[in-house]
Amino acid sequence: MDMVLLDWTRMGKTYCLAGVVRHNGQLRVVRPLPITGRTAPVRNIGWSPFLMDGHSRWEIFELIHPESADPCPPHLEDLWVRGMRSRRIFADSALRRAILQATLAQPGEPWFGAALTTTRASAYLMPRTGLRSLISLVVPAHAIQFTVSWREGAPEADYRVSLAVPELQGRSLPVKDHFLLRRAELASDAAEGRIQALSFAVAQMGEQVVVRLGLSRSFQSTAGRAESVCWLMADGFFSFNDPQC
Amino acid sequence: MSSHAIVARLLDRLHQVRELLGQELLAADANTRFVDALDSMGFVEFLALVAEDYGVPVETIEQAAGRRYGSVGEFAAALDAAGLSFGHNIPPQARSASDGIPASAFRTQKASAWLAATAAKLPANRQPASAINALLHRPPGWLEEHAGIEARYLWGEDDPLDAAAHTAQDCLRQAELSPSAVGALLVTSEAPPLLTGLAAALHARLGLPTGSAALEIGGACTGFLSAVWTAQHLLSDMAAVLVIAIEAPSRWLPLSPTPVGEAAALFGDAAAACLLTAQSVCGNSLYLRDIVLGTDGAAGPLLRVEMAAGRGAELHMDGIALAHRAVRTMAESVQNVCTRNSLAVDQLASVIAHGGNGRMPALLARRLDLRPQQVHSETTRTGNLGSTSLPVAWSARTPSASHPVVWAAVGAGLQWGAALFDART
Repeated sequence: MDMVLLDWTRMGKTYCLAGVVRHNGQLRVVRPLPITGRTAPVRNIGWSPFLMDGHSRWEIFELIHPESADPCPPHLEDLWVRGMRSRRIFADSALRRAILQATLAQPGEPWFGAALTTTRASAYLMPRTGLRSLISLVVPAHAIQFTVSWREGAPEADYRVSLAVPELQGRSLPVKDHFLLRRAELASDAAEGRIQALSFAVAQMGEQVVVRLGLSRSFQSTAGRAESVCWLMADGFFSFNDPQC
Repeated sequence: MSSHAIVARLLDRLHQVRELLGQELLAADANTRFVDALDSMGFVEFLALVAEDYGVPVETIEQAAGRRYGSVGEFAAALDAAGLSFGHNIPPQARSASDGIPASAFRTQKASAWLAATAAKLPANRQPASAINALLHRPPGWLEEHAGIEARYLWGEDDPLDAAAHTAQDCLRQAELSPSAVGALLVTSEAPPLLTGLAAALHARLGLPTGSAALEIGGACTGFLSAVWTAQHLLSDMAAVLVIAIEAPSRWLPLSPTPVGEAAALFGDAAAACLLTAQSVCGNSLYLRDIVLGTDGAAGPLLRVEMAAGRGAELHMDGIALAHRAVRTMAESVQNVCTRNSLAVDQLASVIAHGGNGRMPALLARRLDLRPQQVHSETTRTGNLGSTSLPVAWSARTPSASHPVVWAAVGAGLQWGAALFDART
């Protein structure tokens, strides 16, 4: 089974990946998970940078021995695989556009198949609800605003984005897009410089930007900590007209 | 605000966010580092709360902190150094020009509410019990003896909306606030003078900003407390909420020598308003320490309003059972709100009570083991004023610095409530 790699996000020291496969003539989003983590209590299992660095989004990978995972809403895209092997080719522009188009949120329907709960600053879905964990939105570039801050001692800065869309009303989503973050990190060590770099990168995408939205994994409740919710995150930013890496 | 107070407020917010995220309380102090106390998602919630406290966008907070967050104490110092002070979104131009209460007076207490001003207005047209008895074909003294009511007031040709707007304007004057400071208008009425658009009509007469909400709150005779309860919650997001109660039963309940017509005679017209603010704005502001509401729909048949065949409406009630239940329920509400706040009823300076009839306040005093003078009601003088009875009684009492006080009401539904006001800071 071949997958076009679409979402490449940071999850601690590993990467969380998602892509699109053809299934019965349709484009279907999948989240490949290394089968070595099958017994983990929560599927927050990432891919090692040793395996993934040097590759890119829109690259086509063969999914080795894919097996459907037990449904775990909203992450119904989960797929166990024994590995991923690059085909060393990329999806062409037409396929990229088709993928972005196919993953757009449907007007008038809840983005993830269930209504998001909003907090003051963010939004989330309760675990075990919803029909999907990844969607795409088309957002005007001018409606995208980044901030960067540091909690001293944290392994990396907190990157957030506000999307001026009615459903979010300026709420602030964590930015997990590995490629965008890497671009900001290379541009500057200072927060203001990184904000500029993020803004510049999005401005270069044209007037219409596809923002990939995803839901975080919840984790198990532990002593002193309730089960986590599935937070809304910004997983990727693409030009709608010319979706590049 | 002192640096110590800022730290205390920030720690309060930090705990609030941890609670929101289902995390256990943390022994935190000024030296607590944010990275140890909040994860990325918690931290963004925390910043939003702090921005709300200061009445500024999150970006302003981020800039004040230089986008770096070490310890709580360092953050407090950065906010202080940036010249930010706790505020609550009242722009300076929203203040009346007459007096110089500083903008810092609007520092917010999260989820706290203050009764800043109250005003009431009765119609000019007084209808004495003797006239009512005549209309009911009852002998002289019947209404006084039967219901403890000596008179009621009727709007007649007066415009009830004008009267209600006048009371609200009076409240704003007392608090020295302009209409633009009002975040929401809550209007309650058991017998409204306007069938639709009542809140919007009053909103227009007051010249409130088009961006401020105008809501109609139900609850019959408990409507005023329902509105205050709602206002308290709204005040976490806005600086001031106006509550208006307006009653025009004379437009709905015609008197006649029938049981239905006699029930109508218990009710009088009135209008009243109060202004609730997120912070004390004047010397006699009273702190809303607690408010409880209750509902028992199964007891609804005790008092029913039905459309009359001819005109208006008919009020049917099981008078004795209703009065008994009402007194008991109000007494329990008063005791409940006191118990919740570690108060004994005898520590109350007074109780402001809704009176379904003129006898109920005295019965309530007896049930609560208070002196009759400690329970205030205007029902004897005005009849049952529905949702306006509490602010009318409060406005009519001899001003006193004694506190705490409880306002209590019970109404059709059945619904009931009690609000505890105190003068704490």
